[in-house]
Amino acid sequence: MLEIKNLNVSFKKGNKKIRVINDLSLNIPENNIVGLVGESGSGKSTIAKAIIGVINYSGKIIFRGEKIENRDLNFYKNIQMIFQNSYGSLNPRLSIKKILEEPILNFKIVSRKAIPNFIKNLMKEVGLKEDIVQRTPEELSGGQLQRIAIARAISVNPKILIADEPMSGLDMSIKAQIVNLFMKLHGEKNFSILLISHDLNLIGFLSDYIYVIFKGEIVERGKREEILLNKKHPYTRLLFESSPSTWKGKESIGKVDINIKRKTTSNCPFATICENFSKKCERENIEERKISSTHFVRCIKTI
Amino acid sequence: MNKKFFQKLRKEKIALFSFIILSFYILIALFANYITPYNPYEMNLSQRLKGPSLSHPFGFDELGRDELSRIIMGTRISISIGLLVVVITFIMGITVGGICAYLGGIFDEILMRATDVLLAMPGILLAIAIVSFLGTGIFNLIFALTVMGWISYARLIRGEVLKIKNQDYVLAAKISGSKTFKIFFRHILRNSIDPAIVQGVLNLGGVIISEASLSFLGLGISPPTPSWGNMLSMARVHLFDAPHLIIFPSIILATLIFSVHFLGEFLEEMFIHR
Repeated sequence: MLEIKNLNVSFKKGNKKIRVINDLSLNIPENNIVGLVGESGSGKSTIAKAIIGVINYSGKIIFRGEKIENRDLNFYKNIQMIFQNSYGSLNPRLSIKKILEEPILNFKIVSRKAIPNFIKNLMKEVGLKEDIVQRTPEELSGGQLQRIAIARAISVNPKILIADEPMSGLDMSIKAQIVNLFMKLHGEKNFSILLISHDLNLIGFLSDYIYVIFKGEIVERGKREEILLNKKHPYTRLLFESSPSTWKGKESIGKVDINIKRKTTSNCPFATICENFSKKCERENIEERKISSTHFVRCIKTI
Repeated sequence: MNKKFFQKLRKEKIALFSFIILSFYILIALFANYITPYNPYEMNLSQRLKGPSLSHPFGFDELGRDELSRIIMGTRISISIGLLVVVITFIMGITVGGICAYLGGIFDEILMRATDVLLAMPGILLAIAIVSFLGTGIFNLIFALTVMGWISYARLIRGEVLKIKNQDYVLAAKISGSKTFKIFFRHILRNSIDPAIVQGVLNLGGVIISEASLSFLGLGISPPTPSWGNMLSMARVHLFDAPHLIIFPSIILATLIFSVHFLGEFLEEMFIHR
C-alpha cells in the first residue's frame, strides 16, 4: 500500500553533507504490521519524518500507486503517526477533549454535534475513562498519554499508522497493555502499522515483516519467523544478543568493541565494526542476497 | 487560569497589594473626570503654591490649581499612554517576531538585523528626536515610544517560537490536518506568549516613566493638560518653596511603578518558573 523507493536523506553540517538514509526501499502492505528495528541514530525516525513530509528527501514515496508530492488533508487522513514522546506530542495548553477534537473537526469525521459521543466511544476503545477528557496532558500518566496519542491517531480511521518508539519510557506492565491495545486495534480496524523501535523483542512480537536498519541502510529483511529463527546478518544477531534477558547469563550479552573502527572502502555499512570482516568484503560489491523469496540479507558471509 | 491566578495572588501578599493598587489607579484613570474634587484647569492665583490643607489635601500648584485634581487627571493620561503603548508594541512585536520566527530563514534573518539596527540607538534619545521632529502631542509621543518598544517583544517571542515550533505537538497538529494559521495561533503562539505577557506588565512601568521623562523635558504632554511628568517638570523650580508639588506626584508615580513591577515579577514566577 505504501512504498518507499530509493529514499535518500542527508543533512548539512557546515559544508559537509551527512547522509542519514542511503538508498533505502521499504514496503508496507495492506493490513500488516511492519517492524523497523535498529539502534539509535540509525535513521528510523528520519524515515517516519520523510513519510509525513516534514524533512527534505529524495526518492519516491508511493501511496496506493501514486507518488506523493504534496501532502494534503487526504494524505494525512490515511497516514497518521504516534510520536516517541507522547507528552511532547500533546499541546500542554489544551484539554484532552480539545486535542482529540482537532483531527475530527479538520477531517470532518463526524458532525460537531456528534463529537462528544464519538470521543466517548474513542476513549472506550483505547481503554480510558471518559472523565479524563476534561484534564490537560500534565495531569495524566505516561500510559494514559500514550493511549490519548493512539486515540487521536485512530480517530480518523487511517490506513497506515506510523508508531515511532511507541513504548519508550513506559514500564513493563504498561508496555504490555499498550502492545495489547495495538494488537486489538490492528485486529479491529484493519490498518497497517509501521512500528519503529530499537527493541527487537517488541518488534519480533508484533510484526509480520521486519526490516533491520543500520546507518540508514537495510541490512536484513524478512518475515518475522525468518528474522527471529534464521537471522543471517551479524548486526541482527548482535541486536538480539544485546537485549538483556533474565534467562541468559551476563556473559551472553552481545559485545561490540567500539574501539574497532576500521577504515574500509567496503560499501557494507556494518563493515567498520563487523567481527567477520575480511578482505573479501572490501573486494566485492556487497548487495542484497536472497535467502528465500521473502528473506534478504546484505552480507556475503551468510552463515 | 483565572481561578488559579487569584488563588495564588491571595497567598502572595506583595503581589496582592500591588494588584489592588494597580486596579485602584486604573479605576481612577477611568473615572478621572467624575472624581476630581475641583476643576484641574481652574486657576486661583491667590492660592498659588499653598501647601496641603484639609479642603485641598495635596495643596496648590504655581498657578493656584488644585494639585489633587491635577494628579487624578494626570493618572488618566499617564496610565492610558502606558497601556496604549504597551498594547500596541505587544501586538506589533508578537506578530512580527512570531511570524518571522515561524517562517524562519530569510524572514528571521531580516527581522534580527532590523532589530539589531534599531537596538543600536538608545531608546529615549530616539524618542526625543522623533518628538522634536514631529512636534509634541499625545499621538506623536505614543508613536515615539512604540518605534523602539516592539523590539523587545519581537526578540523575546522569536526565541520562544523557535523553541516551540519544533515540538512534536506542532508536528502532530500538522498531521491532524490543521492549517498553518491555526497551528501558529493555537499551538505555537499559545505556548510561547507567557514571557511576553510578563515583559508587557514589567514594561508598563518603564513606559510610564518614559512618558514622564519626555514630559519633564517638555517634549511629551504639553500644559495645561496635566501628566505626572509635566507636573514634576513644573514643580522642579519650586523644589524648596513648595516641596509638596514634587513629593505627591513622585509618591504616586513610584507606587504605581513598584506595584507594576511586583505584579510583573509575580506573573513571571507564575508563568515561567512554574
